[in-house]
Amino acid sequence: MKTCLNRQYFSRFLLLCVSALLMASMVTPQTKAASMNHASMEGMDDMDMGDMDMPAKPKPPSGASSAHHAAQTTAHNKSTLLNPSAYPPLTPSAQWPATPPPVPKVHYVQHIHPVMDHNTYFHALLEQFEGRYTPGNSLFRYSGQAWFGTDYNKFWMKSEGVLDGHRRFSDGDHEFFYDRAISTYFDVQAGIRLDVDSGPTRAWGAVGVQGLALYFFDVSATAYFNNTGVAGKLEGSYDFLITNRLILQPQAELNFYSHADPERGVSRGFSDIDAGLRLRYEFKRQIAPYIAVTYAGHYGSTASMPRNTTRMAENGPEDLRFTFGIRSWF
Amino acid sequence: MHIPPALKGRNVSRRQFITGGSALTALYALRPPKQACAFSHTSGIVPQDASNSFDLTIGWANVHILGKPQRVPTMNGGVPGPILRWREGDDLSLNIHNTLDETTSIHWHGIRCPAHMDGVPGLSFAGIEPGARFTYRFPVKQSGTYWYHSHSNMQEAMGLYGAIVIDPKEPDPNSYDRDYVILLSDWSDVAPHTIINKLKFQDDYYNFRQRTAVSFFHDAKKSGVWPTLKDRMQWAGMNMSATDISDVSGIIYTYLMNGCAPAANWTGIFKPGERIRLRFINASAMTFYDIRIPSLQMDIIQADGNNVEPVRVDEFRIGVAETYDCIVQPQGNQAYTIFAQSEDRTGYARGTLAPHSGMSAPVPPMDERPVRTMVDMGMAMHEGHNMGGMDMHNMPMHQPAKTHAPPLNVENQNRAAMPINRLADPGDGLQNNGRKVLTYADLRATHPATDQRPPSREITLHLTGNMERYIWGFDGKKFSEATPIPLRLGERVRFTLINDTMMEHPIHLHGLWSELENGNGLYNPVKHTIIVQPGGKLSYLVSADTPGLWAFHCHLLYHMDLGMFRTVVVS
Repeated sequence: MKTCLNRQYFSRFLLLCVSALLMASMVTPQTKAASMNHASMEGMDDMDMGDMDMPAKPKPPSGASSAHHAAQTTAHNKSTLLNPSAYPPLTPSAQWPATPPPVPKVHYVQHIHPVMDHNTYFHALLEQFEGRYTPGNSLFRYSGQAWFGTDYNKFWMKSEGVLDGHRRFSDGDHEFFYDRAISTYFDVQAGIRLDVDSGPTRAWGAVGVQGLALYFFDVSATAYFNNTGVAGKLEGSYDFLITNRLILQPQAELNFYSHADPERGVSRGFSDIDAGLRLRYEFKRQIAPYIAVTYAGHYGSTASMPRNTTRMAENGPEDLRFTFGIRSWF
Repeated sequence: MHIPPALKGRNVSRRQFITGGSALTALYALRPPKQACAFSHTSGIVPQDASNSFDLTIGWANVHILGKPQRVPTMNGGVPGPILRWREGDDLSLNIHNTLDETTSIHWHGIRCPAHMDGVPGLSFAGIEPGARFTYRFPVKQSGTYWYHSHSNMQEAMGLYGAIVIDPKEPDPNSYDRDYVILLSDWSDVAPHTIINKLKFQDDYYNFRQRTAVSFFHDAKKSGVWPTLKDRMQWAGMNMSATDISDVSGIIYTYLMNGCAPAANWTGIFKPGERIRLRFINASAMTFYDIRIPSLQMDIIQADGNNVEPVRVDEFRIGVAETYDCIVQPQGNQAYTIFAQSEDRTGYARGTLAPHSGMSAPVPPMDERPVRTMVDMGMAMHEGHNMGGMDMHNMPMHQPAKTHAPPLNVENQNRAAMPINRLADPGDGLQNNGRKVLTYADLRATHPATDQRPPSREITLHLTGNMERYIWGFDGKKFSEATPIPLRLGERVRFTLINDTMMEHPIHLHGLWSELENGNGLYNPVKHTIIVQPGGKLSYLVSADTPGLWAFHCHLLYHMDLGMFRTVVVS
């Protein structure tokens, strides 16, 4: 399979895709919205409490003057709708001032809150749960995350790994974060990452952002650090709706390291990529089987090392496979 | 979701939603419906006489509406609960016995009673404990059509609601021979907390009618490739969906009329030539309906319990918690369908007016589902050239004011840059449909306002939310983060609401009237629940004449529960 692909071309294409995802994430909702507002419209979206002049008051429905609405509006409305005195101006007095009264301390009966807008929720998403097929050399890979908490504060876990036919577990990456919502679509995350699998164990501190970039791109970028150096991971995906249930999802994950770690098959610089093009069908929203083409690529100093450590089951440094799996969440 | 032709005019059941496969769906669609009425065939009939003393029991009951019985909280065992007929001027005593194993409460929606009788746990009282009794006592100072519902633990979304009919002290200006309550509600076997949980994970969980690659070709054929692409990019660039009409859809909802599923066909009997009063109440959790009776015109005579000058219409939209009374006078010796399609056109409630039971009339096909436009985003000046009935050129420009618009943040996804007056706009999906549709601009009270003072101050609130995170609020804050809204006892204030979100919100103020400023001055219509259209701005006057803590909230229950709620303190 891989031989029919131009190796360089393919990895560059993936790099391009991911950097496009990241650039999209840089455009924060705030700046985007601001740029959509016409400069002349700034500040026109509100009425001030002390603003008493008539033009800012609600206006008679202008539709009354259009032919269509003349027909829709009854006769008495037509006359009064155009009467500006129908909107009395604010008339404060000594007894009824224009300023709001101080906010009193409210005692809720038995401290009962009338609504439950501060609840905690628990959700988990198993995005990849898949077999990557090659005759005699198939792999199983999973990647998922779970979070528990309120709108603003959550405990967030991510885990992924690959299991081969010899029950050897590789690429085991398990992360635990405190997650804080910071903007309309983005959260910041701080915590730890543990590389635990059949290979040697590594531990990292971790800081990152995760969220929904404009144009509905799901993205995350995380930096890792420990006494040997730093590392980075970029992830992005996009749900392309073919129909309301048939969804094509391009996805990619890129890893960078400041130092090589041959025991774990990690190269300095751009070390590896794991990408997939998954076509799922949401029989139920929460259980969707998929077929996919997945690609795992290893680059740099360790790319051509014999697979004697953790990724022995792969078909060399560039591994393109037919894949099938199930996406699920609750 | 694209509804296959076999399913058109039929509710998509939860089972079909779960299986999803279209072949299987079609098979189910061919099976005879098992849906039935929740309560007896007498539902909808206003009791013969008013009473001032009621003994009511709230308890679990097995209700048969879908295939399987469901255990839900009910009033006197039925969904809806009994119609309570009161008399203006009476001193009421309503003794409620809670046989549930959880706390309950009953709120009298639209009723002007003392604050401690309003029935909101935490604000009015502590609720009614399991096994306990509570007696509501208050004088009835108003007349018209209202309703009651639980204000505890999502019991309202599960079936704890019913109608109130209050006889006026003065002779009724409207004469009629028959009197029916038409109570609409949305019914599901998915628990309310499950629905919230799904929406928290995926806000469009229940929306299977999103724009897709397939629908792109349809759209491009209609309006060209480039405009279609541009429009889609514009929505995607805001992380918003133009197909977001209702958060919860007919995918899990069966829409009921007086507790009857469409197939059960609730029927009201009449003799040709009789004047029939229909008291429409929207007791749904999340659904707006567009109501019409093909080949009959309706004279709207009352809105939210208060009489209005009669307006003859073909169709009207009823927001959650609103009520409208109308008079119809069918002449023919034939059946007429009362057709109430959900705003997102994923289903409908349906019943029949007929000279004999067992008759039915054709059920019309549902209209095209509406699609949001830039007008709904509050950017009317950019794109809003094609608004039904709205003449943009006459739209007065709002004066630049010191801006208090809430910032875009975790809880706020959008700012309506140019909110407009949409009172004369019948609403998304109803513009230019060839029928005479009621608008808020058509409503004119029959009696002048009791309090004729001008307002002394103005309270401006933005309706905000973040669909992606499914958080709702006012001014970018949910209830738990905000301070109450203080009013001086006796003062008259103007509430100005600006809807920054792209959905309609029916805003309900407990205990005090909301006098909608639609240009009729002293004859402004008096309401308890007011729809603010997306990208819209409106105002109403409130006389703070009753002291206490009052709830003020969006009546879409999941918006309310997730933060679009404030406490109003009158002191």
